[in-house]
Amino acid sequence: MTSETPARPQPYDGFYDRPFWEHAARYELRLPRCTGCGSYVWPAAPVCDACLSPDLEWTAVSGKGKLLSWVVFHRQYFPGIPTPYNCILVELDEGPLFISNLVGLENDAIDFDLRLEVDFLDLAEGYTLPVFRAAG
Amino acid sequence: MANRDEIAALRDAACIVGIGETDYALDYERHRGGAVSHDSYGYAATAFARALADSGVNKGEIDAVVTAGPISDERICEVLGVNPAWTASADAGRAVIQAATWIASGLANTVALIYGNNQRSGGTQYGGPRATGGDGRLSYVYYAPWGMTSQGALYAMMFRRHMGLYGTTQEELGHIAVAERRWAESNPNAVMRKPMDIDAYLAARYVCEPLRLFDYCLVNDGGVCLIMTRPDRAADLAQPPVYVSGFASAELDVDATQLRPRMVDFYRPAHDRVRAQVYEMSGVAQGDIDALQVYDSFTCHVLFALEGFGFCSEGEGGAFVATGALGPGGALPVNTSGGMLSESYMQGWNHQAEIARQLRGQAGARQLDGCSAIQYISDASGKCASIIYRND
Repeated sequence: MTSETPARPQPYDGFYDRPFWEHAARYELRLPRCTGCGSYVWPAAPVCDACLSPDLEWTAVSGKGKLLSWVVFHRQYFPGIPTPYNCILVELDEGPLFISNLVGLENDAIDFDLRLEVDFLDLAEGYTLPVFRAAG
Repeated sequence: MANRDEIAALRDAACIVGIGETDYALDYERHRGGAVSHDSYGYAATAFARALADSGVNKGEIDAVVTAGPISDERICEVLGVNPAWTASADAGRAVIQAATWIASGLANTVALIYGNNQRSGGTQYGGPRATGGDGRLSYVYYAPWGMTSQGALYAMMFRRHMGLYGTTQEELGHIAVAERRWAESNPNAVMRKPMDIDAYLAARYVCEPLRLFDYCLVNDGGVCLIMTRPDRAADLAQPPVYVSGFASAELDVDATQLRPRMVDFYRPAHDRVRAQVYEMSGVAQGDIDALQVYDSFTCHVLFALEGFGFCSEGEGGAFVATGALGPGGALPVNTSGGMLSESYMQGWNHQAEIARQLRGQAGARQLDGCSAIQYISDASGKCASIIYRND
């Protein structure tokens, strides 16, 4: 990479967010889950929104889900992300909704209810991005 | 839940007596020519002076101020020479509701509601690395690593799901943009007045597919001001009063960043709660609503509001708008000034001004016949509000 290459945006670096990306770097999709009531909390937050317990544990999820909706960006908003590119909404089998990208499929071939599984892209920007592929 | 007996006393307890707007079309053209008319405070001050003049209210009577847009309470009051008892910041619908509750409770007699925004000349970004609004809406910034950005993309994803569930088409959606443009053609202050048919809509480029250029609102500079007061005070003012007859608000904040309320529920639980209160409080039946003003930063806001409030059934919004019902001569006039798609992106404020104009009978070439009740609906980012206004 040359320094002239525009970079993708860095992950949102809130107080509770860093473990998500540390797990992603190890090719693990983990989401915070309340050890008391079992609710998933996504994005990461100080307490469980169901029972207000602060005892949240980064819990591995299956990485499987189905496609609820998607868009294709034609206007370029980020210099580091060339258009056209898709963004998808995945309903994980564990329940949470997850925004990601669908790789390995032409944008015109994306369709509702597609079964998906997580994959990981190591980026030159120094982090690993969880993305999804059509389930094999 | 609201107390039904208590809120019944709020019906018609406050009214709009003054409206002021800046010269949207003129300022837009000036900016195309390289000139900038004002900053946000300048647009706000222009609108305020026009609203005061319209109403006949003296500046010294203003005892509360609600502001919106990128202006601060203190600085706008300083600029305008006003020392209010109360200030608040709110979006357009909630600002009217705040003012009405101050007036109804006796905490304030006369309220100025002031919006100013130099978003075009100031280069405000609604997506990308410098997207505005991320401090209040985590979903605006959280998904940037995947390239997911802008309120428009979130609404595009909502509409895609609507297409999948109900078979709604992009051409059907386009009829909302076409109807609003037809209204704008007869509004000399509308930024976009060039006639646009469905073919022109479909020929425009995608911004975030399935939404095209004309599914997006304008980004232009301007200001709006409303003056509200007690009905008994309105009697000796310059304009006929426009009564705030009923209102309601409901938010869907749980799982907002995860996008569940919008993507799974289309904000319908909030629509349901607001719908239940607003008609009862106002005493106006839905069938007696003469026109709608719907917050329309994107065409599909209108589609979701029509379904959510029961103007058509769930999933039927596309077919409903494709009948032409929303435009001039249609059964349910919507956004009669051209809305934010074609008149001006004043974040719901120009809708309030247009309601007052229509209910006063001052809307010129686009004046609706026999118009006595108009409803405002907003559901931006799951913050749903509705207000019913009447003129008698």
